Amino acid sequence: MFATRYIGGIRATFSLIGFLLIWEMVVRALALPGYVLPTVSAILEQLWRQQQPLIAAAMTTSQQALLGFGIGAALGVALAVALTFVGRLRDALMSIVVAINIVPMIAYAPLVVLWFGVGMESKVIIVACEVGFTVLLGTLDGLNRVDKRSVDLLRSFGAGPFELIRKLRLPSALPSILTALKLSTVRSIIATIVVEMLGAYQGLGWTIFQSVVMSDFLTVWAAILVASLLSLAFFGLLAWLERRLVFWQ
Amino acid sequence: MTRFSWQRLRVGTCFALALALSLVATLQTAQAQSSTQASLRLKWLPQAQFAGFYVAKAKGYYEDEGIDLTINPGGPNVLTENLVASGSDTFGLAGGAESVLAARDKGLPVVAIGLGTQRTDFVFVTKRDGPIETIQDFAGHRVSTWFTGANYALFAILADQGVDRDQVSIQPQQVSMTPFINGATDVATATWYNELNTLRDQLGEDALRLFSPDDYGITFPRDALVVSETTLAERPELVAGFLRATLRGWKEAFADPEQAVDIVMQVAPTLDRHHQQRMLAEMQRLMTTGPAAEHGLYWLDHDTLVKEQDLLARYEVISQSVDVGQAFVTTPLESIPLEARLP
Repeated sequence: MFATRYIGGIRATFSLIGFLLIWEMVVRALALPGYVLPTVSAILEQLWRQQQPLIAAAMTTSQQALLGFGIGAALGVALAVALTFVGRLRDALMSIVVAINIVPMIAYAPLVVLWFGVGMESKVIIVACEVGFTVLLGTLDGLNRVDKRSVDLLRSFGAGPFELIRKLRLPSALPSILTALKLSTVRSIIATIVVEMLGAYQGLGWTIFQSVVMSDFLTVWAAILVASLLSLAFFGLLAWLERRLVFWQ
Repeated sequence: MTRFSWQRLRVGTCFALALALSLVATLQTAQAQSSTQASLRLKWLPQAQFAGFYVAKAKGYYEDEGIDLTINPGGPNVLTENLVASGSDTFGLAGGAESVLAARDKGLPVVAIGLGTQRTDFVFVTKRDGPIETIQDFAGHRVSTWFTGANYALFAILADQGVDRDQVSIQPQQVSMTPFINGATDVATATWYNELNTLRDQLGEDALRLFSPDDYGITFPRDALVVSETTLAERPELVAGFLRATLRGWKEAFADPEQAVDIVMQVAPTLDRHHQQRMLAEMQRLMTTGPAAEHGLYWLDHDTLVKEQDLLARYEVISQSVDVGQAFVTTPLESIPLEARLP
């Protein structure tokens, strides 16, 4: 199993390098101007030259994304657990949750920026909502996947509702929760960047917005590259956690 | 009807369609031979700020020059310079002298052939009953501005008046003016033709105190007409024709503003008429002031532009290496007699 994963990793790395090489060669062969599509080497050079402001921007973006992610995940799991206690009310509440979730959170972003300003709060709130709903739905799904017979068994040994949650429902929901969390990683970075573009003091989205206005496309691409790496690292972290925590799957 | 006749009907329809299509194609080729296709990319959505172009199109002034012009609206995150440089659009109404200098600095082959507003199109505004009476009072207060060029005008004013920039809480400004109206910021940035009119409507004509960059010797001409180096070099007659028609359109819009607003509102019927009328009036003032009185509309004033370049280079927005004479070209304007350019 380790060997196959290792080989998979090597393959992925090679195909990525191949893709970047083709990009570099096509741009050079067609002599595309930098404002249409720059070469990979020029982007990497810019990344090196602008490393300090880009790292600062990445720190801001990741802080906001992580904070929003943490709050959203905690609220999502907590709310899902709470909903399992309310019994019949659940279905009524669920339809409200689904209705809110149908509107893309990003659509609220201009209003949230208006209410909470261009600072950190507006980003954290949007990310928390975006992540919260995904985790809530994932967790609910997992909590309901419990085998009815196991519930009956535990009950027959005198387990109360809290013990049922702690000892049975949550552990068996863990795979669903972690899948939802993994999906939310990339979403949280996307949401942060989009809200930053509407107004921010710093961050990758803000860097991209400002650089476009000033025709600085190399910095735009360098910021996109940093954002991709950030997403990848965040996703990788959660995938690693998943392998650690849900080792039985 | 029998099945057979259905089939004939279908065949017949196909023939008719093919005939119609070929007819359209022939007509289009004929039209292409008589007039040149070109497009203009605006810097924002349709509004009276661009009345001259819409009037010139509606009145057939572009057609008179043999140009079949499509006017494409802009929007947030639409960079006119890039679309013109890449050839997606023939002409563009870009942000201003500052964005053209930045684009040239980054190697985009775009040239400005005219500048719409001869003076800075934005002011810093504060409430008359608020704590700020002079630029010195900016220290210790919250100032919101656009971090896309206007911020450098602010920095320069503060430096000119001996105010330490670090003493001022400078924040990026959102699209909405609500934070200023609510008092969340003490000073906001507003364009003469748009946000300022909104504020005057909401807070009252006399409730505002204005700080105009031009009063501190800082002029950022804006609304730059841009074209690619290739178009300028290879199709000078197209560029001159476009300018001639555009100048006619603006003069017509200034002569009959009611009609001009009608034309703009036909393109964008949901606009507020009163707001558009005031926008056009402000555009007329900004476009006909300063050097325009002597050299006509869209004039490119070399001294003003060199000063702006120096300022932007001082703040390291651009390098000193941009050649102002190459970035801003007056040849197409000068090919048009002065009396046709004078407002």
